Amino acid sequence: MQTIELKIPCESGFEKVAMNTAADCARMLGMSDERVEDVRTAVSEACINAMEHGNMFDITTKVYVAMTLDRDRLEIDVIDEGRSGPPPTEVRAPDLEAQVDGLLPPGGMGLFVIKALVDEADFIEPELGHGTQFRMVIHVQPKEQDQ
Amino acid sequence: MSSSLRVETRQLPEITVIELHGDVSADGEPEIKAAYDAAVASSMPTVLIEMSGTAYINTSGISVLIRVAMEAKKAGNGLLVCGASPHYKKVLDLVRFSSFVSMFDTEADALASLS
Repeated sequence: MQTIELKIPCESGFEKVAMNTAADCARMLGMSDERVEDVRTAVSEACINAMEHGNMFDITTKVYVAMTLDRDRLEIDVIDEGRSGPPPTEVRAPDLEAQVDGLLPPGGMGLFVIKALVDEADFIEPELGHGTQFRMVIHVQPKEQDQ
Repeated sequence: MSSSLRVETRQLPEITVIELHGDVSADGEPEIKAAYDAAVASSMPTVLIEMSGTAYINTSGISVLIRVAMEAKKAGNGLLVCGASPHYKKVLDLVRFSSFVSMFDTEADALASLS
């Protein structure tokens, strides 16, 4: 088991550093190109959520990302400073009809997309004792390991 | 960080094509909005957003596209999208963007739908 840790600036665009590193990890585990794309998008969305909600885009803060590679799974933790209070307990599908009609502001898609793309995605008790910790797990499919 | 999006506009007989190259995120909203406003101010208010040159789209970028769709719907203008990669097409389908905006694999497919 190997772990890679990153601390990225709380500034839009730097999520791509974490996203591309996670994609490299997924490739090293033998995941398919489609799965690698899912990992890229999930990590990007988790980092943006952390910057926007957890750190309120405060450029003096950082987002911590830890990627643990195991034989058959990739576990990714995204940790922020938890400034927006407790994380949501429920994830709903975005109401795009209301958004396109101007009845709701556009947005609220990130968590929904992440949950659809990875095998497990949940907020967990922060291991550092503070902030918000979001954990994603992507399993290597047996078919992928054979390739 | 500055936007790494480049926007190019082409005028065709029946439609304005807005090509997005690079990253589609919240950072690119001013460029996309300016291109859309210029397109609908012309005599061709039907717009095709061409995304085959896009390497990265996040949900903040999808929100920008939703705002464009909102404006198009309000003004009664046509809006089509083409060229999203299979992965981003999957993401756009997940959030049901494709239920509100006509999406096509290629520009040729989008143009054929107008005839």
